[in-house]
Amino acid sequence: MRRNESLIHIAAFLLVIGLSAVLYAVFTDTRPGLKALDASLKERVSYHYLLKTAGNPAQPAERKVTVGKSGYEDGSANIVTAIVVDYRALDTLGEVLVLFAASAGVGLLMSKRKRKIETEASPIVTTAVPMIMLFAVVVGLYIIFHGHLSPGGGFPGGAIIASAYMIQFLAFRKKFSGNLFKILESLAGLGILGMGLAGLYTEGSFLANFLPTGELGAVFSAAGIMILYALIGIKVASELSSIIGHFIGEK
Amino acid sequence: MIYWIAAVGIFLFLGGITVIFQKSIKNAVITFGIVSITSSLMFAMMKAYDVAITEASIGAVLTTALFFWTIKRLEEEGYNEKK
Amino acid sequence: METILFALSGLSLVMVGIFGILTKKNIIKILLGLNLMETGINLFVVAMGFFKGGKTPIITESFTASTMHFVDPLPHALVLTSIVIGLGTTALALTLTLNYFREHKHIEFRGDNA
Repeated sequence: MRRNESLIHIAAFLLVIGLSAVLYAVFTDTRPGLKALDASLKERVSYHYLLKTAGNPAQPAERKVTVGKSGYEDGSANIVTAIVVDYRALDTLGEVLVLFAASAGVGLLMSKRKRKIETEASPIVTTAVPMIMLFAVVVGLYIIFHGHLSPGGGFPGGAIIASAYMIQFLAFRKKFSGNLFKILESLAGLGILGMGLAGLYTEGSFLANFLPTGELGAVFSAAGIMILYALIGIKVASELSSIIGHFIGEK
Repeated sequence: MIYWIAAVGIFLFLGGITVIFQKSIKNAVITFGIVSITSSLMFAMMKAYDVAITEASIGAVLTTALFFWTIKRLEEEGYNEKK
Repeated sequence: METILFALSGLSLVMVGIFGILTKKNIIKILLGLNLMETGINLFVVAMGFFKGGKTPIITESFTASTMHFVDPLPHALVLTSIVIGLGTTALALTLTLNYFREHKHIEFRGDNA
């Protein structure tokens, strides 16, 4: 086995060199035709997402989207949020399903370990950690509820809340019961499905935006996007906390 | 601007090589955390601030923590790196 | 030029990750290589939407030009979901690594030990 080791290294290196040569040929292509890098924004899929005319593509092309007006088909000022939660919400539903499957698999395969003798945390840590936790939870909630105005949203906000749970565990060695996360996560999943079915009933397509959009750029605008992103944030936070709890996993 | 992009790209490449050719697993995991947070900087240079926040909170913090807990549990069950 | 530099720095990470997956013996090293590859591919996909002088895709009060000056927001949305899925699959793979060690008492599946 040791005899073949250098042979494996050489083969892998040659494979990497070959792939690099193919990519170099792609990027320095000078023959006529459309290249990988020079498609303008008008030829891309996100053209109608940027102008907020995906539902009615025949509208005039150079329409300007500005803050303060109402009546757009999508009330979110952050266009990435508009794509994640409104235009391509079915992708997000499948993604949350994959995360649920990973969390369930970790819970199925991970075994508990015996408790070892551990030293207590020092008073400095036990005094400072609740304050840090409070700040982390507040920042996470802010990021979740301002997902339609500023960068962020349900995924990073949920991850920040899960890391607050992680810090709490490292200082106090306390574990919440697993049923809390299960209940929260099931309720959030049912809420997402309920929003999708309500959109199917009122607008005619699954996960369609059926709540009023409001003024573009106001804090309380895009009600459907706010509710869906809050549900996604709860689901992601409880699933990641459950994964972390299984990895720590003490009896 | 081009020089900054090239500097961050070369840092990422050297960090990736360090992760792969590092002898100790723990040092490799920490170096992976550094590569991840630098890639978050590169996302911010590409004006993708949503992705930068997500990568900084998930890729740099939670992934590194999960790798470290796995190594800790392996060592508690008798794994020795030197062997 | 900027787009090519961004794409190349992503692809270099992909190459390093492929080399690590093919040659390393330790399972944790292989998972680190897989994660490096994932980061590189995310960088590459976002770089495909970048162009010089593009603004970040958020409509604010100080921004009065047309939204055609934004960078392409669709790769950002795709990569946002890809990062979260990457964490889930990494957690599952690490759990399988723990079970592999409990069964075989080592975590190498190439070379002399395996």
